[in-house]
Amino acid sequence: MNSHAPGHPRAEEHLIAEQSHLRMMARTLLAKECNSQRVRALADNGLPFDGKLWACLVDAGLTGIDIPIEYGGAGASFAELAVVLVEMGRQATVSPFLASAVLGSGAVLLSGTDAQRASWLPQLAAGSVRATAAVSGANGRTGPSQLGLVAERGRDGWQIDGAAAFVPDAHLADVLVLAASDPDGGVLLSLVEADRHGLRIVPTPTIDGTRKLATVHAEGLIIGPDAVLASGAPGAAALAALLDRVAVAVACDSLGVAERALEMTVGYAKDRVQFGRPIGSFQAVKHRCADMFIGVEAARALTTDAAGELARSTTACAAASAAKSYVTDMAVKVAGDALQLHGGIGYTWEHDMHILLKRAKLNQALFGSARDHRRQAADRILAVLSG
Amino acid sequence: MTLAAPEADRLSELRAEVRQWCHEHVPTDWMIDQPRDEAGFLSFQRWWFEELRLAGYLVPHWPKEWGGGFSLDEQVVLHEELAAANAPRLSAFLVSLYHAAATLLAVGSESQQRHLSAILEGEIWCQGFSEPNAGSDLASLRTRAFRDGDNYVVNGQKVWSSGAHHADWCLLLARTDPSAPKRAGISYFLLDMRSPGVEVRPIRQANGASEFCELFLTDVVVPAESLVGLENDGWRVAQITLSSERGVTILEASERLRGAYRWLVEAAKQPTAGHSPPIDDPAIREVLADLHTRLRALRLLCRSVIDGLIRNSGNASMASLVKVYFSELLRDMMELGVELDELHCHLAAARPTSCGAVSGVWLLDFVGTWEWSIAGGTNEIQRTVIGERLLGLPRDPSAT
Repeated sequence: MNSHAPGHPRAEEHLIAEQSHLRMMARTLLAKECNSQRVRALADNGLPFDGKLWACLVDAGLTGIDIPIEYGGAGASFAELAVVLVEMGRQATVSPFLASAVLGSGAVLLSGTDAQRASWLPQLAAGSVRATAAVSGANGRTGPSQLGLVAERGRDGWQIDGAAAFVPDAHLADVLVLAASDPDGGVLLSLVEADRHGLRIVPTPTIDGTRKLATVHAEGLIIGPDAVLASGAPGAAALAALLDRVAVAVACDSLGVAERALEMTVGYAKDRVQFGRPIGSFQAVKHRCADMFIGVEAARALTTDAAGELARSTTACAAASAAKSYVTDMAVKVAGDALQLHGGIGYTWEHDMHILLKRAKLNQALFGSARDHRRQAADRILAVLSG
Repeated sequence: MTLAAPEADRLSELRAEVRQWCHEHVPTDWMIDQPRDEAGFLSFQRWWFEELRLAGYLVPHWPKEWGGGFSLDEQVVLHEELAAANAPRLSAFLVSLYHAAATLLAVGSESQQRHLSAILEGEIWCQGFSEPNAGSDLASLRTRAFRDGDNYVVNGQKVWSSGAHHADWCLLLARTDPSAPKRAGISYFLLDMRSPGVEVRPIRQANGASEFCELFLTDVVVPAESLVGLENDGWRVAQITLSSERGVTILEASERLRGAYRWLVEAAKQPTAGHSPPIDDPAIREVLADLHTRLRALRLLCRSVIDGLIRNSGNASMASLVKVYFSELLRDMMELGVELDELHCHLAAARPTSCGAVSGVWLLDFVGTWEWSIAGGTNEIQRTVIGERLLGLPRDPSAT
């Protein structure tokens, strides 16, 4: 996969064709390596790691999809990463991909020095190192004022204390990016090995089960100069960009969840016969499916737009909050309607709809609730309109 | 869609040109100043029609030999700029410039196409499709046309005919073969509104305006050369008329909502006695953010419908999706306007006539939003179209 010079219609069409190829490749891979049976086994049983799936993602070049070629990645952009994330949502994939490829690699891409990029990105692309980022507070909220980790200047650099909760796949990470507030109102972004003294990771199993979360505790954790990715105001800016990146990534996942829930429902409405006719011929069912479709298409437009913005620029953008709030809300609505239209069978444990509904619900709350993002978006929009 | 550099340059030149033109020609405060009576409304519309014609912006969507020839991308730019400048809408000429023109250009005979020159001179058209008993179920229409020598004789009643009281001509659907299946027995005519036996009665609408009319047709003689296409092929011709609503007109309406959004923000900034302005209320800010996001989505959806038209790859039924999305967003925006204006918006006020969906008289604008969820196929019909044509769900066996 290569990046293309934008601005030419042929390049554009080529890009669309390549994304569609990527979509089918990821869909085939996940249908085989992460089918419903496998998802259920991984979701139900605590905190196992699916090494086979991880190896497949690495072999397909997906773990380094938006890492530049000189660092061993595929050299594509966030737009292609977004395509893969939608497919992962469709399949409710259980994998530390979001943690490592979105958060971990994202932090190094956004704020690493040349030396840090050269040292970590090839390993992240090759999947030999998995990463995550602790960017939340004790309540899981994100943003510079919410950080649960606190940095103080010490004799040998920085010392970090505190806790960040709801960190994706921290228990599977070899390295962690830590976002800590500094005494001057800035943010210290650092990258440390998981086995460092002063770092403790406590898994916190979720009801959803398809995403694994943990709390990261720091107790007198010493950060040397080499481990600092960014600090102060640049650190805060990098954190904002990283939060936009993960917000859009979660929106992509929710879009996939909703797409799948809609497809299952339309298929079921065509097959299921009651009163002597397919239930999809009844207006009450048909119109609800139409509304689900409208929601999915609006969500797709917003997600594609936001992913395109992130592919073009790494500075924080209003499109990210718009996508996160709208798409994750929409996915909950669509999955809920899908369950309703399936009737009794949809409410059973053996049916996959509850897996999609729970994933959609967790996505809605993860990395800033829909409400938080709407308020954030309002601040950005109204500042522009008033300025 | 990303464009090649020369084309992008050409579009930004056009944008600058239109922006400058709007700056010089769009009257400020026209919404407040324009006359409220019918005659005044019409002369204002005719004046603006002439301004656009002189600028070469009147019929961008027509073929080049008729003074158009804008690409879809160029039409998008033109409408974006007109909307951004809050230019008056040519509502009195919408059917002439879009519905009638699209139909005449596609299937009109040579003598029928002479109307195109008349339309450029300001001839006004209306549409005679719906009937009291044929609304959503348009194909069940009952107005009859009998062949009588070189003429047809038409009897029946039409309704929701927008602007018929000003119209010179009418696009008319009538049944010519009552024994055929309902879509197969309909023919399409051009009706001279000055013909004896044509009676027009305006209908006062829920928002107080009278844009829609009833049309009573009693032994109206229509010359056979006014038949468009073949006898009993009128349903197909009507689809051409209706599809003219699916292009840039949706985009134009959507772009105008961006202006309405700025008014909402202005309304939210007004302080109320003893309280801080609503804009400081987190709940209101959340609603404003949600509306902004939906506007963004609407714009992207419109753009993808137009890209589909440009590449000839889209599904025409996506226009149904945009229409539902637009009308629901419009209602929610007007509802916020009503909420922000509190009791003031209930005080009697006249709504300016030709301004389209939003005038700033929030309560009347709110009531007027039902026009957008009913006219041109109700949102229920659109949902059925989406379900059947986009999702492939089975038809209701009892609705044929």
